[in-house]
Amino acid sequence: MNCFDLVRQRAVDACTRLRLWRCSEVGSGTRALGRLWIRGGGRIVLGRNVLLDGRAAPIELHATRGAVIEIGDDVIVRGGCSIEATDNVKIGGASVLEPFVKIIDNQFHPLRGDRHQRPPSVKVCVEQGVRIGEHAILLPGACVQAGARIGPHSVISRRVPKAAFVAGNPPRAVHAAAAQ
Amino acid sequence: MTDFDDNGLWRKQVRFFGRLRARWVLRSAQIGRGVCVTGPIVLDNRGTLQVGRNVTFLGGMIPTAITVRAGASMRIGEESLFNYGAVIEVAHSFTVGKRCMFASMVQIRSADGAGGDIVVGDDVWVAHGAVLSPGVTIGEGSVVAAGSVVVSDVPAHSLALGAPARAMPLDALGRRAGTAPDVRTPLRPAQAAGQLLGGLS
Repeated sequence: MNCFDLVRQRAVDACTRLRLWRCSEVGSGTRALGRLWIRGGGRIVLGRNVLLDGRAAPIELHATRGAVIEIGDDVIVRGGCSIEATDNVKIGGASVLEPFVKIIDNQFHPLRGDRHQRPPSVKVCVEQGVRIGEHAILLPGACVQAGARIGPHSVISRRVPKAAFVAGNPPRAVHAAAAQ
Repeated sequence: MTDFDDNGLWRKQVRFFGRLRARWVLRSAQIGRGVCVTGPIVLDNRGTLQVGRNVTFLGGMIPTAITVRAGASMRIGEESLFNYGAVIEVAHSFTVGKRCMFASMVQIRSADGAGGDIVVGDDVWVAHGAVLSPGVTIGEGSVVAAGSVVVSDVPAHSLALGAPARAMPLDALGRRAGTAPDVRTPLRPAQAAGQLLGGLS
């Protein structure tokens, strides 16, 4: 990397940091493209070399007060993704969120009884190297372990073991563990 | 940084301007008192659109798209709520009961003719990304889980879940509603659908 590249990199980083002024921490090399909806009074922590690609459709990151959204290094978030945290949502390094993925850690309404009472939150954890297909939904309690793949349009609300390929609604394990 | 979620004054202001916005955006519809629109709506109304009292259309990152074709009718009951990104296309008739909740990115399309009508009863909650196929009736108090594709009628007070959706009575669900799912048990093929509760605002 020559001197010019270094200066350019710093300038891009500074612009990105300004655009992501609502985020608590932004690592170097992170790029924010297109439209972003970053809201709420919680903490949003972005790692290094994260790509937020909101060109095709906006990306929503919503952390309510006291909530934390952590996005690790080298994560790619495609357009239309929406992450809503009321407690904690963690996305490990080198994961890919395809378009229109929805991640929430609270159901927001109970199934029975008073619909306006908010049920307790359950943390959502996506570990390293996970690929989540488009329009997939991660519900509270979803825990996708390292290297797993989630098929498009699946709805996940529990643990997905390491390197598994899970697809469908209700989800089924297509491969227990993909080729290692 | 401010969090507007729990700020009463801000919420009042949003509702005030939302009511003004509703007058303009839904000017081709018959709207009741207190209808509130807090985000972009793409409305193409060539038939009749009746919106009841205190109906709310929430804004978000994607606009809500409502299409009512010529001769078609769409009726929304009192105090129902639509979140952002819903796609509603009415070819003949679509009826929503009172106090219903439609989450973000819901897709509702009714087909031509009386057989393609969609009827949603009172107190129904349709969760994020659910799809209602033409000709479907959803009974009162039911819940359509997130990401489900409803292709057949859903009885009252039941949970419709999966693609294609299967309905089960809400009373038959094992654990208390809204509690934490069992995270430790790994996901198995053909697991009991009742253990996978879906839904969100």
